Amino acid sequence: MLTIKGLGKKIKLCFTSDTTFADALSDIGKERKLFHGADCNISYSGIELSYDEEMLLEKSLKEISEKIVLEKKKCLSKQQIEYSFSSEERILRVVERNLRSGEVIESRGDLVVYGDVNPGALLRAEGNITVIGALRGAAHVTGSGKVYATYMSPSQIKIGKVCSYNKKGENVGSAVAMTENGEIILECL
Amino acid sequence: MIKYPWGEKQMSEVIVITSGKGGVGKTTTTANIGAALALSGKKVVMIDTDIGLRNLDVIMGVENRIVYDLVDVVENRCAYNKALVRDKRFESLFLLPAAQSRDKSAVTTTQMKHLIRQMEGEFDYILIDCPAGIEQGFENAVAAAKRAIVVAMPEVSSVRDADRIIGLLEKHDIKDIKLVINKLRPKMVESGSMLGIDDMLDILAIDLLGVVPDDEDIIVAANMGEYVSNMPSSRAGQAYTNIASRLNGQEVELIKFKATFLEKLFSTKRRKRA
Repeated sequence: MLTIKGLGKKIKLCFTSDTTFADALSDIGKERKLFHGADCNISYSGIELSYDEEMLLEKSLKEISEKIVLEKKKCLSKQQIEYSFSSEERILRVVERNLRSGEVIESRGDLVVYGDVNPGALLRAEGNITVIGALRGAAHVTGSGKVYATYMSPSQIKIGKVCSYNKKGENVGSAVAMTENGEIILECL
Repeated sequence: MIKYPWGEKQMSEVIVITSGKGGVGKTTTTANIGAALALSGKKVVMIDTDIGLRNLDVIMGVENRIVYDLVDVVENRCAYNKALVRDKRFESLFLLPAAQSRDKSAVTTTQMKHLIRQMEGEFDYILIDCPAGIEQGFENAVAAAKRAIVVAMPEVSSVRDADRIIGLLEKHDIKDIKLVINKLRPKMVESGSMLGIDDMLDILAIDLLGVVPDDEDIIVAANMGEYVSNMPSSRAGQAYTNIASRLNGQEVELIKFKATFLEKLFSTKRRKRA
């Protein structure tokens, strides 16, 4: 069931709680005449939509009228862009911000960080870890994988059961860390 | 600026001054920035949220004039303007002191937000002096703030804590975070035994608001209940005045702190012996 409410210059779509996303789309399709040529902001309530569903909803509204703007709830600010997607066997988690002391980022597959990882932050992934920025914190690979950073100065790297510490706080620039004969080696790029 | 139906009203700048680590000079920084802003003609109130361990009043030299405090205000025993203590030297500088006999749990974040909403519009600047740590006291201080000044010393432990605090501030949705580097010793930086400004900015990755040198005047002034920002001859005072002008939106160049010839001579000698 769809109820349409006017809120000043806005329009609010109120769905009943048992509405599925497909129902919601068909309900809106029925109101095509009402929205035709509309120029307003539209918000919604009653249903929980994922980011993708919100994009689809906006697309279907834009098909009815170009000027409609959907007020999204799942819209992410630039600082907190973080997404993960999985193909058949691999999961990738991407973080686009600086990680500061005390933060722990975990991934069940690979992990990519666009930004600096400061001392005190911990990255933990089953697969490869890639840091496009400075890696100054700790990186733990629980499975078998490599750690790549464009500015490698980690406090600690652990791959599988092998662990190595950076005692002098050295940095080697762009490098890959991997295991070889039960030891962690750094290969400069 | 927000337009109210009853006319235009300038919104206050609500700034929290924090550091995570203790002893880096949050309170001194708050007092001196407040004094420098008041000196430039702004109406400023400083709120001490360090309940149980209040210091701001001592540094300002108004300890004996406190009647009501923050806890009295949030518990509705008096209006906030009754609890304000006006500074003797600056007409437009006020302090809302913390309670000494209670602890941090005496105030909640909702009460803090309510209080600051009441004060908003009455003052140009509302400076909140945050206690050390990341517990209730920090939560209270940060609750209503829109901007933050992080004070850090050129020390590894201070930089680490500042980094953590910046992460927490970002989680509290405070986007305008500025750094004040306190207690910098130019000669130690030059000899390489202290972190430099660039090293700190490299890790913390936020805008620099100012650099305050380690100055004996600060200790002398604090003991007397004076402000270094009121002493034109002091280097630290000049630094605080510059910070205040930058907060007011002026562009002021950083003071270049260079070790004097004698200091250089001594530092090279010491290095040779080592």
